[in-house]
Amino acid sequence: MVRVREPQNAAKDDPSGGAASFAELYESFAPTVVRAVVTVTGSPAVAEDVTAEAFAKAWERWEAGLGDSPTVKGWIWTVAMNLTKRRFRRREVPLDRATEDPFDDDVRDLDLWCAVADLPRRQRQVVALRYVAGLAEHEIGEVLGVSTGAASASLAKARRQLRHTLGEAR
Amino acid sequence: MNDNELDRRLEHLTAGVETHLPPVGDVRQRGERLSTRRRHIRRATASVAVTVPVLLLAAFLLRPQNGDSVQITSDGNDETIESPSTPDVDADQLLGRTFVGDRVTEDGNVRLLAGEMPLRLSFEADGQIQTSGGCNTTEARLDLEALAQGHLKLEPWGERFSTLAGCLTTPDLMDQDTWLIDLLDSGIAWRLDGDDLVLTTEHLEIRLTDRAVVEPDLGLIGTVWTVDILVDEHGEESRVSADVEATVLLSTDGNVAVYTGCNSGTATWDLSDDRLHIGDLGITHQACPDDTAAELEDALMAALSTPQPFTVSIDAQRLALTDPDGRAVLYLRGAS
Repeated sequence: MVRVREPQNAAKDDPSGGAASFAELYESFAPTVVRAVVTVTGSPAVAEDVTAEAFAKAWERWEAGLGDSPTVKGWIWTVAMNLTKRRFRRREVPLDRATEDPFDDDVRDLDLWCAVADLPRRQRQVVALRYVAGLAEHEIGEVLGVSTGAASASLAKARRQLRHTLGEAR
Repeated sequence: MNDNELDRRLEHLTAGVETHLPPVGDVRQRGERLSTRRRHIRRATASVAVTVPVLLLAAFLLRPQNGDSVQITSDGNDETIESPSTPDVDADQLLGRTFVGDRVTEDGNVRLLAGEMPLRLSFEADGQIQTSGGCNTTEARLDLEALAQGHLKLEPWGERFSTLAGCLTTPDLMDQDTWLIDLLDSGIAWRLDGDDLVLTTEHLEIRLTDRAVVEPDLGLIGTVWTVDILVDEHGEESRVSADVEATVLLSTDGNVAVYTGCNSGTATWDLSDDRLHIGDLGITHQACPDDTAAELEDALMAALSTPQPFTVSIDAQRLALTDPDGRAVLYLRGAS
């Protein structure tokens, strides 16, 4: 499991403080999870539901006294990525790629967005975890259940493909 | 483009994405429902194991005579249905089976449905059910206690997943999805009648038939199997474009004919139980007319080059090939 330090959880000393700390984690961390999952699925609606489900499961752990573990963020990343995979399997996310526009009006880098959307799912996951979640390659490997070498190789492949696609787009 | 520029752009990739998350209280409630559901499933599973034999014994000892009516309480409302001559509510007989159909009567009058055999209920061994009224498929959890007592009912607080097809040109099918889900949310009496699953309320009867009877599994040999879904080395699935078609046909003479979309070839095949081995494929080498056909050919050849034997699994008109590690390699669909 990925070891990402998080703010101290007050639940240990004050049981009523657990909810407040969970709320703090949710408010500070959930938007990043949504952005990473959008990168993988292309669908804001799916990303928000996946994130809410991952945090709902995290709340179960939190209540069971496991919430203050330093691995909780890594655990949430793993759950979110597994849920994403599950949604693909269930065909909730179209096979090719989602067609919703995840941006409202402010499209910052549409070429890059389209290039990422064309990557295979595993490479999109690696890109999301590296650049949106800010995880190191060994942490990405732990989240996805693959070796650091495999995560690095996927990332290198994705970057090579993106450079190629964006080079062609010019 | 250099690496630094790519990194900079990737770090800002999602800068414009707005998030609309539910309040944290809703998320906590969802987590609590998950906990409750887990506890309930554990209880219900244990309960079903004990209840079913007891119910069967009770049903045998107290079985009503033909023509008797029985009272069924569903969500606080009393309903009266005519008892079947041989009521069969052994829940284990449902699990693992799929029932399809279109026969619905309301107060004795036939209700016409949109689509061809649009209603489908699949009971999975773990207590999940997949339902469809003809458009989308919804997966939900069954209320196992109700099931053992002769009622088909969805867990009200269970998680649900649904496909999101629009079916814009056939809104009736979407309406049927909703109608079926509403019935299952309310709870509906069920019984087996031969190969049929009969669902009844006071005014309504739905008769579905075991899918294995209506849509029997196609034979592996002699069926033209069209490649439907490709699976890459990461396990990612992609459906084959409708513009190209690749096929596989196993013949009784021990040869398999493969058409990749632009080239054709043959090999020998050998089947032992459900393990299929395909020999070396000799194939023509014509240039494919376009990239789509070439990509399909490459993907099919790669799939057939993976370690063998393949495990063969046929479900109605669908053939799945998996490698010795249990990973899906190829999905094909056949025509009867």
